[in-house]
Amino acid sequence: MKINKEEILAELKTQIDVFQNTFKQEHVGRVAEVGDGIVKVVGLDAIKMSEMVEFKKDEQVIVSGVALNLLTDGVGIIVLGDSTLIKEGDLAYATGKILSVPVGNELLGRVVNPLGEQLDDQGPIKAMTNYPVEKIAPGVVTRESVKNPLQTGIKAIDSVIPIGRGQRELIIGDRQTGKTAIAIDTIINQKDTDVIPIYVAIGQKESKVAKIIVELKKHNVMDKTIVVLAGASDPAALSYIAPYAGCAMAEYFMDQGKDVLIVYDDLSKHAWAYREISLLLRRPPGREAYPGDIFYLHSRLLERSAKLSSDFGGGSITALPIIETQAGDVSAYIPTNVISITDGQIYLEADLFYQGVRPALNVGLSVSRVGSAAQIKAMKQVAGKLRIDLAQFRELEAFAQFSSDLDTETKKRLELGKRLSELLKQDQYEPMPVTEQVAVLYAAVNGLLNEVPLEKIKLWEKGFINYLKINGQQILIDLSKPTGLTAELEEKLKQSVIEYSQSFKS
Amino acid sequence: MYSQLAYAQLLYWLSQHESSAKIAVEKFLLFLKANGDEKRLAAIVNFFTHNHQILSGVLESRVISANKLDKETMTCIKNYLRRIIPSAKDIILQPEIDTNLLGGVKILYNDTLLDLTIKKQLTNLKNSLLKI
Repeated sequence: MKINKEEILAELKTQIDVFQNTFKQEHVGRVAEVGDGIVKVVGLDAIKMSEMVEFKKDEQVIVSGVALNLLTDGVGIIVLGDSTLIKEGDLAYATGKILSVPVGNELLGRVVNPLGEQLDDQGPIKAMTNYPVEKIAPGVVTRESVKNPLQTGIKAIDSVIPIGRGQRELIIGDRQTGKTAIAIDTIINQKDTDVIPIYVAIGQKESKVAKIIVELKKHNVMDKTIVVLAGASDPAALSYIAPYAGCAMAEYFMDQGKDVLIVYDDLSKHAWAYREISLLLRRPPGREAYPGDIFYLHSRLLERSAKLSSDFGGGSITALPIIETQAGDVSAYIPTNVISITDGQIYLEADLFYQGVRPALNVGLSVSRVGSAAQIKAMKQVAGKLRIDLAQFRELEAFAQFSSDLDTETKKRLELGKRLSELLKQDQYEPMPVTEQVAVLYAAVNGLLNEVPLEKIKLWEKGFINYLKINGQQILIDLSKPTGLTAELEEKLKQSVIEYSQSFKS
Repeated sequence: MYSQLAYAQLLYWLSQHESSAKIAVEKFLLFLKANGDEKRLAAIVNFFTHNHQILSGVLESRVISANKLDKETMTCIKNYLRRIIPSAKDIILQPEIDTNLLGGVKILYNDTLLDLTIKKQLTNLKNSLLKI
């Protein structure tokens, strides 16, 4: 439809005529000090805690901030942007609002900063709704217990440390042990599910996040993912609000009854950013120079991840916070804080990583407090024996190093344990559907792989999966049913394993 | 902990109600010592000196306009401020010129800004058109 110039001018005139000239009192303060991302403002006596403040030039907002320190002689404000744009004597305008971010389907497939502004090249975000960044967590009455599985696609996790929708499962380990890899594989595995992934990068290198986005696009999952980025070169204030902004975006979908997976990568850097801000605001330092409310920083964030009851929509937020330890010290301040908040931890060890065990999961120290409530029936049936076998293997492994003369039973357990450990290894970016996991683990725990040489286990696994996809599709479909591994299904699966193993041998 | 303003207000009150400056200052120093805030004396005295007018109920207001305002307009503004802040004993207007405002006036007093400039109205109009 072509609209001519006169029509546009007439419409503009109408809009101007109906425009109501109003003015209101604005509460302002004067900038007394600015530096290091912190502004001290004199005045603003009526400002409230966490209220948003704007700094303007020629009536345009140049940067905004949040009031975090209400002092007797001024207000301490953290700047959510470039503080070099502010100078002493500038006016700070109170907005009367708390910080909120745009939320909605418009953010799916986008890369945004913690204020919800675009960082990719797909145009401005046109969200219709805003959610507050800070929000009280759902109460006890609105929740229900975690019972639906969130499949990560990683055998070692889905079998031994299962995660449910609405759970908080910590991923903890030293640098370069595969923490982010586990989180990204979990996101990739949600490609054909109804789960909406959100990846919050806190203080990360932008090159690392760029690589992650490339991988997500390659596996066709970026279209339904939101990436919230507060990079290493961004102010500490943005790193501080990034996880809360991501959580607000997740809450929008949870309120609609959808399931969300949110990854916080990583909360160690989040704690550092908050420490930096608190010290600059002259708050008294506590242990390791962290402020006194460092526990509350993470507890109020992670409590917002929940499984809502069906009366409240039935949505959920599953959180995978990541913590980086130094030299494997899980008893340090921040790691112990977050371990006590979450519903379990996935512990990654550098030693295992260098031995070639990847993912470098220490199955003995890792735990999921939700447990088998978050597993399909077939996996529950297989995983129980797997845990016991792995535990026995770990006990015997150390013993076997010093003993030359072992009985048959011990040797058998060691061989089984070695095959289980080999089978639990998995390549990056290759998440496996849970039914395929059940099939291969069934073969291993029932001793059907004892004849397969250890170094050919991975090859056998690949071949068996392909064999099942061609000749045993129905088995894979039946494994996902609530009836689980029935006697009949078990017999069919066993026959498939035997048939394939025979052809593999030849 | 009392703010600088609270201490300055106390010192001003003592200066108005005590028979001599010596007694007023002595009482003030005793109060300061009782609260353990002797170290803040220099900052409080500095605040008292610079804000004496505010403490004595005099309202200072910056009036920023695009052009010089005549006496009648200034009187109007003074009367308006007297109406909305009845507690002010006296009102001192400090005129400033900023040609970027195009027209109208901006009044800044205490923590409050009243922006009645044409520039502000044009910005509001632009924002309302953009929302359509």
